[in-house]
Formats: sequence, C-alpha cells, structure tokens
Amino acid sequence: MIRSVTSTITAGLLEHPDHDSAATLSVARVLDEVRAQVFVEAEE
Amino acid sequence: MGRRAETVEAFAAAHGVPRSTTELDALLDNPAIDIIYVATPPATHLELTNRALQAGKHVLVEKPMTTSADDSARLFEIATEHDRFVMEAMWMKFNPLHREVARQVRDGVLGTPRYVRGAFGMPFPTGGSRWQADLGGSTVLDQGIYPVTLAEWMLGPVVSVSASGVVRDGVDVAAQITLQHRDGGSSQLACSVLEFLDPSASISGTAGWIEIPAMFWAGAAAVCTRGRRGQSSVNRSRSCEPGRETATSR
Repeated sequence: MIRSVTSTITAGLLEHPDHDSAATLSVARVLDEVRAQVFVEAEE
Repeated sequence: MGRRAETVEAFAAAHGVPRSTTELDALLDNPAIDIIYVATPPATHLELTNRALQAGKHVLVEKPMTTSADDSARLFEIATEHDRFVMEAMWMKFNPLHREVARQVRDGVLGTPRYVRGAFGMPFPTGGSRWQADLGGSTVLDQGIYPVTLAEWMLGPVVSVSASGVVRDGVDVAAQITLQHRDGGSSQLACSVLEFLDPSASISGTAGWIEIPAMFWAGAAAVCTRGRRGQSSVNRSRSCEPGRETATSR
C-alpha cells in the first residue's frame, strides 16, 4: 500500500484509483447507517 | 511523531528515522516532510488530517478515515482545495490475494456474484480507545469496515442496510449486518469486540464460491470451488493465490 500510495502521489494524483473518495464514502455511509440502527435498537 | 518522547525516540532509533518529535507543529512546519500517516484514535483523524492538509502535506489516514461519512467527505474537499493527496489506509484493497479475488470475480469465475459472508470478531482486551466513545471507539468502524468493504468491492453499491447489535457505554461493541446490493446481491456480515466470530469470508456466485480463510482481511491464499447447475459435486482448488494460474481461473 505504501509503495502504491507513493507512486500515486509522485504521478500527481490526488486520489488513489484503487481506493478513491467514492469507494471510501460509499462504505462510510453504510457504516453510518449500521451504527445508527444499532444505537436506535440499543435505546429501545 | 508521538505523544511520549521515550516511545517516539525508541521507535525512531529502531527504524533508523533521523528525526522524531512530540510536537505536532514541528512536524507540520517541517518542509522536508511530504506525507503524513495519521494513525491516532479515530475521533482525532478529522482534526489532525485537516491540519496536515492545511499545512500542505499529503495524508494517509488509518481506517476509519473519520467517524462519519460527512467528516470524511469534508477531508476530501479540503485535500482538493489544497491540491493534496488523501486516502484512507484500507490496506486490504492492496493485498495481492484480495486483488486477485476481485479480478476473478470481475472476470466471471464465480458466474454472477450473488452473496458475501464475512465477519471480524474477537474478544479484545478492555481499555484503550477501542472502548471509549469520545475517542471514536466502535467495532463497526474498527472491525466491521473490513467485511463491509469486501462486500461492496465484490458486489457493488449497497441500497439497503439492516443491522442490530450491542452498545455499551456509548460504544457499539457488536453488530450483525445484512446488506442488499444494487445489482441484486446480498451480504451477511458481523463484527464484535466481545467474542470470536469466525473471521473468514466467502464470495458466492452462480458458478461457485471462493473462501478466504481466517484472518480474511490479511489472507494469502483462498479456495475456489466451482460446479455446474444441477450437479451435486464440485471442483475445489487453491485458485486464488496471486500469480498462480489454475484450471478454475483460465
């Protein structure tokens, strides 16, 4: 990962094509929803 | 850089790092430093990554990138504004095995991928940021991110989430997760810091399945099993080792 990130930065890219903002945020939104449901259930 | 001088100095000495510091400003103000790896508790990632980007550094952020999608989106915006690189350090996506599995799934080795199963559960010792809400403790963010990432990687975007779990002292400590994916697939995932949950994973499709044994997020080999419609027997092979071509992947 480190080597790949280094070469990506050297190439002038601002995101890594194999784990870009779209992929990161898509998973993050799922995690948000999972946590929201778990916490709602815990409050009931 | 770290909080305790003796720890920082010992690490620097052990790894041949020429300079070390306990002062964040000294790190950010050093023009010789191009990139910073933020590996602090999750609740601190937003502020530290923001400061590093504002200081003109590229940043690699330990997963989870932040404790919410909105905060992570903000970091990508800040990085763009400052013409700097930022990435969540989801190293599983760079593991040669997982990249090979993804390639095979993409190439149709499993037919149409339909189902992902995965879990990451271990009875972690109590104490530390993993158990503290104010530091971003969360098994969903810390362990659950691996099976969720695998599921999205293999089956595509998620359109429906159903989850239940356990919360203790404001920290989610166990979760069972069902995902429905846009292209019709589904996932059954789980995570926990309370107990062991078989930390393997599998990807199934209309032509077979691939099992990634424990610890699935760090695996080096997987087993591919393929069959045909109407057949009760299947062919098994270790077909997913990177660089190893077998009958099932030709």
